[in-house]
Amino acid sequence: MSDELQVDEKTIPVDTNRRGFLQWTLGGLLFGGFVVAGNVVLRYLMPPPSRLEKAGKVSIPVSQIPKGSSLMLKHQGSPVLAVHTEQGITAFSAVCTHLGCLVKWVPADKIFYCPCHAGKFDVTGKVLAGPPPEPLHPVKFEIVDDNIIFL
Amino acid sequence: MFSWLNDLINRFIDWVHYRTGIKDIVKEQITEYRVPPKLNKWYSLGGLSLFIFGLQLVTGVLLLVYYVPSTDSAFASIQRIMLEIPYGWLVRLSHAAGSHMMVVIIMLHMVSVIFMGSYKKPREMTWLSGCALITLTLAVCFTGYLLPWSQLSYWATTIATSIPEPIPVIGPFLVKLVRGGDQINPDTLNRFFALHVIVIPAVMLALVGFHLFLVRVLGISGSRDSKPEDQR
Repeated sequence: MSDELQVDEKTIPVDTNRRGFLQWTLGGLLFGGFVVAGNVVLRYLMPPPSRLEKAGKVSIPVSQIPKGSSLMLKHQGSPVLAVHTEQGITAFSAVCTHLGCLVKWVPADKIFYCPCHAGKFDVTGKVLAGPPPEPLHPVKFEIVDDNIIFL
Repeated sequence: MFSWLNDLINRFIDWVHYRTGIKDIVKEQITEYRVPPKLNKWYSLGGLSLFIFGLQLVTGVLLLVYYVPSTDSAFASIQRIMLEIPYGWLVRLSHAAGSHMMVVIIMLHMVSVIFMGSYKKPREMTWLSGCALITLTLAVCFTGYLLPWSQLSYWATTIATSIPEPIPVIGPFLVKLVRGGDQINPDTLNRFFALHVIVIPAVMLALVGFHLFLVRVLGISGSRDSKPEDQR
């Protein structure tokens, strides 16, 4: 009995330590491999940065929005809707203040219309009908040499 | 140092074992699974082709995220994957290189089975399902080759789909069936896409399962160097 105990003390801990070390090393290498592969997959699935976002200031010539028309563009990563009416040029964030769908300009009725829940806004962004709780958020811009520069 | 983590993992494994008997299955099928003695490198080819098949499934699904199966945008979407998407080149070239390697390894696998006589009774069904898998592998390579809609893939598919044409009576009909028209056209791309991404892989997955099931039921045949009683 005492002999067996001695054997246990001397050999088995060494053996389990070595085995444990190898198991943890192998497991660590496998885990590291999965982390590297996971990083590749994650980076691949992330949408690549668009060129417009990198550009900083967005500017378009006024001629691109003739009177009565509208233009959807991307400014600082979010959609902006610029409209040219008799009152001049205005620009709003196209994100509806209700649940975040994108509004569009309806030239016939001269309103911004949200396709999700029929929210309606007038040319100044004020809510005319539907569930939106607040007016559309205006986007600041200035016109320099017939170019609209969004700030 | 990590004993708490070991305990946690063991507790989880015990929880699963109580409900599935997983430890016995792992013991019987993996850790204490007995193979005939004196196996050689050639016995690794089946497992290797299974690994590449898995890799093709993963990279294939990733390519599906950005690939557009239409004649107007297919080539542009491939260019986007190669030039714009981070690691897109790695995913696409892994898929392409993997397809080549899968054919090479599967052919070597077949050659080793032929030369070692492993196809003999009682393993005929394993052999036949393997033959079907080789055919499907070539089919999946062939249909995938058209998808980039480049000059190379267009003309290669034109030539390859014209192969059955000289067959008497049914030849021209077969060509028209494969192409979905008299020439390669947008419909050809769409039917090849459907075959490449779902039909053939699904059938292959089922056949691989059947193939592996038979390998485990019948056991691995011994090598030339094994004792006679292990060579069944």
